[in-house]
This record gives sequence, C-alpha cells and structure tokens, in this order.
Amino acid sequence: MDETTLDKIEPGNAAVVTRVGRHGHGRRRLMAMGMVPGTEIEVLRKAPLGDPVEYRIKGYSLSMRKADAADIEVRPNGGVNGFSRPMATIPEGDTGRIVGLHAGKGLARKLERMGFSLGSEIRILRTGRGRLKVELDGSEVAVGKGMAMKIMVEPL
Amino acid sequence: MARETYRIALSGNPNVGKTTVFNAITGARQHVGNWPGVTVEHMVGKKRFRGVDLEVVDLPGTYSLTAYSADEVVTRDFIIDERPDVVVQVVDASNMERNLYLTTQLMELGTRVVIALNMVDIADARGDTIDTGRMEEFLEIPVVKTVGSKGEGIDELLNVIIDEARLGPHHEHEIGYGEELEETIAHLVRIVARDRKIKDRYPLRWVAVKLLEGDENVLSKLKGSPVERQVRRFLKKVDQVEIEAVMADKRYEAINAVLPQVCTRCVIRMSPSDMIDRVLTNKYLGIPIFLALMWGAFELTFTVAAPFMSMIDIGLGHLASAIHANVAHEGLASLLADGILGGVGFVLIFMPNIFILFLLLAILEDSGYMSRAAFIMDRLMYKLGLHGKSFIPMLMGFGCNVPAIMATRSIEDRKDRLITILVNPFMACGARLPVFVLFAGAFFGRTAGAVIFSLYVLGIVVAIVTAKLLRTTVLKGRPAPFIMELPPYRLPTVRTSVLHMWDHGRMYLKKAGTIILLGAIIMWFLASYPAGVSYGSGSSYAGMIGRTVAPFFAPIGLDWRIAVALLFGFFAKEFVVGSLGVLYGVGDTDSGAITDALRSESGIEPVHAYGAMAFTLLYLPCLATVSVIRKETGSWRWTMFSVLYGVAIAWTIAFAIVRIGVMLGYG
Repeated sequence: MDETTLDKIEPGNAAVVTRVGRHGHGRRRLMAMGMVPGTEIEVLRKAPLGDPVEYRIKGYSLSMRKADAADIEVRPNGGVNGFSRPMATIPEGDTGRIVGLHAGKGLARKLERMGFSLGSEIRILRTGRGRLKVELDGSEVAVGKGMAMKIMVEPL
Repeated sequence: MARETYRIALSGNPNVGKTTVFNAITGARQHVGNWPGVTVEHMVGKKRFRGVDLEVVDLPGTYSLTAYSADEVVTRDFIIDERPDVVVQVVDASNMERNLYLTTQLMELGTRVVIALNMVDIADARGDTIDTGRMEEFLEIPVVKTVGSKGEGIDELLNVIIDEARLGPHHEHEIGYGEELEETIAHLVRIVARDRKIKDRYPLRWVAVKLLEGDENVLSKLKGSPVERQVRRFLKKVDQVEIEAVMADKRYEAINAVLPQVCTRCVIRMSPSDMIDRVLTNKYLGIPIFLALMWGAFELTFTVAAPFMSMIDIGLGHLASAIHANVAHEGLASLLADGILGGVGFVLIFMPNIFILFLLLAILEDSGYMSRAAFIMDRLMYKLGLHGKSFIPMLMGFGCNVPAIMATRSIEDRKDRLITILVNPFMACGARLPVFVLFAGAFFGRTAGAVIFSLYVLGIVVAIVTAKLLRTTVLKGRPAPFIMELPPYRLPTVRTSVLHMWDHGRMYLKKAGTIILLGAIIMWFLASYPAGVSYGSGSSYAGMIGRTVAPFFAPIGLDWRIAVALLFGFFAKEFVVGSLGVLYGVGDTDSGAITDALRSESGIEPVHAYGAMAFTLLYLPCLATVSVIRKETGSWRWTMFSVLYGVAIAWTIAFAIVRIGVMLGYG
C-alpha cells in the first residue's frame, strides 16, 4: 500500500491518516478534530466549484481545501466498506476477518508483528474491562481495547 | 446569611446544542456581556434552583483548548482566571469520540466537570445505547442525559451541578501520555514550580503540557518569570511538533479505550444528512439551489417587511403631526418631532427588515445550511483573498451593512474577519438605492436601470480590489485554512430560531439605535440653528459646513447643496434625498419636484450625476456602520482607516468618472 497525500484520494474512497504535516497552518485544529495517525478518513464529495472537499472522519463531516489536505499523508484504504468495524466492538464469541489497520506506521508494524495482518481471521474469546482476548491463527492473544479500536474487522 | 451562589460555565463543541441547553436552563433571564479586553461577546444567564442562585456563563463553542483561535483562549482563560465552580460540557451523544476530546482538555485544567449528554433522542433513534453509569465510572465525571430542545433532563442536570459545586475545588485526574513523555512533563513541572506566582495561579501539569505542545500563549504567560530562560532552554531540546502529535494521539487513544465499553453501535456510516448533502452540495445543483435560497431570503425580507414598514411610517407621521399640534414651543416641538422622533423613526422603520433577516439567517444557521453555503462559496472567495465564511456577510451588505458586519463574527481568523468588515461598506446597502433612483431617474431616463446596476457592480469591484490590496499590504498572508465541520442537518425549532433572532435584533437595536438617535439629534441641531433659519437651509450650521467643504467637491462638479446633502448622508444614507429636497426648496417629500430642481438648478450634467452616485456609493460608511465597525474591530485605527479610505476612494473614482466623461465629450 503506497503512501500518498489526502488531496490525491478521489471521492468514494477511504484512507488512513499516517502523518499530519509539520508545517500546516491548521495542524493544531485538525488534530483536535480527530486527524491523528491511524484515523480512517472517507472522501465524500467535492464542492460544486471543485474545492474544498467534504470528508468524513470519526463519524462527522469535515471540509478542507485541497491545499490543506496536501499536508496530510495517508495510506489508501480502497473503497468504502460499510461492514467493517473496530475489533473492540465485536461481541464475545463472534468471528471476523481483519480488513484494515487504522494505525500510524509504527503501530501498524507492531500489530502486524503480533499477527494482526490483513486477511487473518479472529475470534473474540473474552471481553473485559480494558482488554480483550482474541483467538488468532490458533493461538490466544491479549490486546488492549485502545489498540483493538484500531483493528478493523469484517464480521463473518 | 448570604445566599448560596455558584458560578457555572457552559462549554462544548460547536453544533452540539449548547445554546438550547443554555436557554433551557436560564429561560429569558439572560444578558450579553463582554470578555475583559476582547470583543468576543458572551451570554450570562441566571437561575434560581432549590434555593441556590446559579450564574450561568455561556462559553464559546470550541473543539479543543489550544491557542488556535481566540474562542479557545477566551474559554480557557475564563476557566483559569474566573474559576467557575462547575464547568458543564455539553456533549453531542451522537458524536462522542470527537466531543470527548474537549473533555480531556477540561480535565487537564483541573476543573470540576459535569457532562450534559445532549441530543440523546437522536442517538436513541439511531439505536445507540449509552451506559452513562459506566461512563461516569471511567471518566470520574457525572454524566446527565439531556434533550435541550425539549427541556428534558435539565432539572436533573441542575441537581447534579449543585451537588458537584458543593464538593468544592477539584482533585486532578488526567490522561497519561506514556512513560517517556510523562518523565519530560514531570521535569518541566519541576522547573515551572519554582515560580510561586505561576504555581499559585495555574495548574502546573497543564502548563507543562501546553508548553510542550508549543503553545505560544502559555509561553507568553511566563514572560518576565525567573524560570522563563530555563523553560525556553528546556523546550529547545524537545521536538514540540512531534510531542503535540503524540499527545493528541494519546488523548484519542484514551477516549477509544473508554468508548466501546460505554457505548454500543456508536459508529455510523450513512446518515440522512449525507443524502441531503448529495443534493444541496451537488456539482450541478449546489450553486443554483444556493442562489435561489439567497434570493428567496432577500425577497422574503423585503416583501414581508414592507407592510410593517409603511405601518410604522404612517404611525410616526401621525405622531409627528400630533406633537407639532400640541407642543406650543416651536423649538421644542421641532426637537421632539424632527430630531428625536426622526431618529427613533429611522431605527424603528428598519426593524421589520432587520428582524426578518435575522430570523431567516437563524433558520439557515440552525438547520446546518450556513456552513454548506461557506463550503460552496469558499473557492470563489478564496480567489478574492477572502474566506468561504465571508460570503454571507457580503451578501447581507446589500440589505444593511450593520447586521452584515455583525455576521462576520463567525469568521475565526482575525485578518480574514477584518478584511471582510472593511470591504463590507462597499456593498450597496438598501439605503443607497433611493439616492441612485433619484439621480439616475433625473439624468438617465430610460437607461436608469442599467446605470443603477453598474453602480452595484462598481461597489463589488471596489470591494474585491480593496480586499486584494489589504491582503498584499497591511494584512499580508493567505486566508486561514478552511477547516470546518459540516454539522448534520436539523430541523430548527421555533423557540431557538426566535430567541436567536431576538438576541441579534436586540444587539442591533442597542448599537445602531443609540448611535442613530444621537446622530439624528446632532443633525437636527445643525439643520435648525442658528435660531431662526429655516430647517436645513444654506444659512444653517449644516449649510455653513457644506459651503466650507464645497471646494473639496468642486473638482467633481458638485455644488455646495449636494455637499450638504452628502454630509447628512453620513448619518444615514437615505437622508441625502430628503436633504436635497430641503436645499432646493421644494420640500422633502416630492421626489418629482426634486428631480426637476436637480435638472434645472444644480447645473450638473449626467456625467456629474454619475460621479455623485459613485461618491454616494463609496464614501463614508453611515454613522451606524461606523459605530459597528468600531465595536467589531475593537480598534479606532481601523475605524478611521475605513472612513478615510472610503472618502479617498470615493473622491478618486468620482473624479476619474467626471474627468474621463468630460474628455469623452459628455457634459
């Protein structure tokens, strides 16, 4: 999956934020509004004159000029898939397939090392307070809920 | 014994129904206040509940408490300096993740927080279930479900607020930023703690976190402190940009650790808003729908207001005759009827217009369309050196510049807002139309319509050129980034829209009203004295002033009478017509007679008439506009700039029109 910038993603597609540019004028506001590495962002539509663009992030609509979106590095996530949801929201006993990792570079690598790679099947064994136990390729893995929010799963 | 009194601050993201909760708590007992030192206004309301007096302060809507915008700085300064007993955060139950980010910021300030989980009806309807008990447990913050628009949950909210307020100052609970960062924070806390003054006034951990995030505003609070140099040296060693990103990430991580445990199905994808947006911001339909809505709003404003305006006009006319008939002293009668009543009349006669305009704007705003309008127009406005949010104020300028300038408040960036304010007077407001109609009718006959239209275009061109000019000189820089939430469409409630209208209308009345009244009295005096002169004639003070400034108008071919009329026009531009009537001795009501007098007596040619109209369009903003510019910019310098720039540009353009016209053989 090649890295690109948000302005290059066409409407109807989604991407995962990997970095918010260091020099962007509105960087602080963007981060407060949820533009942190690992967040999934969907490109909804362009304004009638072609700019700005409407995005969906963390369940709400945000608009931004393309020039500002060019400061945001993303990893394309393909077409928008209405079925995937964070692993932390899958009920106990259910199974699913990993379809996306909403994480920055570092965490994505860490998750992949733990075995959470795209396409793997998981089954939720137990959900508890801050953690959940998951069956992954026949072995048992414990993972924090924060992290489990970043693993996108398509229920099976 | 003094009554038990607590001070409550209401905070929250924009578009979460904060105002409806505020209204539901305080009802009609509110007033507008100003923040010390800044022009951002705020509402304060009072409520007596269970024998306790509550003072409720409505803080601006913010997403965070960084130093990104004035609103955010105002909010956190209020919490730090005024130490409210409880800060209520209104949270949109259907968008918890982003809303809770502000909660993490409030927690860091060490203040006592209560969450009003608002609009739970929408979340319920969507099938979300929110476990407030668990939420309270995780956040260590009381949570109350409310529906502000229906007043549900408000009593319980007040109960919880009072219980919390009685607990006194708050213990600290906070977000952990991970071992490495925590060490850095602890180190910085130790340095800052050496300054007693800072230690007593600010939550130290918060200061350290903000400093590490590169918050200039907090750094400036350390100015002159004995630890300032040490802090600066410490900050040089760390990568603030990186730390800021990590902190934002950690806060969201903390939220995401809690959210799935208190809320099921709180992530949605398709919403009705999305469907509506597909039409309203459609590539082909978006702009036509937008233009139709704007045109409709203007039509409605003027057609609905018209009968009310004539009613007020007739009523005032009767009142004036009654005064003249019953007050024996002629000077006093004139002061009452022509001066004071005239002034009040001007305020009253525009009231229907202003109120209807504000009501329509409130509906557009509350429905969520306003931000779409900015979204649609941003590209065009950006090219002109403005911001998407500048468009609505510019458009409103064609109605009246006073509410238009007040509407610039939605523009966050100071430079963007200042430019929008300064170019607004060039949008030809409704009051200038009668002047155009008079001159164009008298001198251009059949082409009058085209001539008037060209004046509107001239105003727009001057506004654009001025915006460009300011952008490249004194207010250098690019317009602020367009990072704006497009809130979900909602059906505006009658109560909220009417209250919204009333708030703005009242502000207009207070600001424009007092100043116009004052102006009208001054004008009456200038027109009626020295004693014995006939009202507004050449021998009155006004006439004298007119003759004094006449040489200024000579190069553009206008005589002293027009100079006097333009002087009166400063108080309100529509005075120009009436004043001309008086000065040409034909009475101030018969526009046909004024037309004839202008044609035969003034000695001006069509080219001069066009110059006079251009001058009327561009010169001084009227008195009410000047006062509102002063209020909204908070600066006499910019106000003076606006006045002087207007006069200079008006004279230059009128001069150019006349010279070029004469050269081409007209006149």
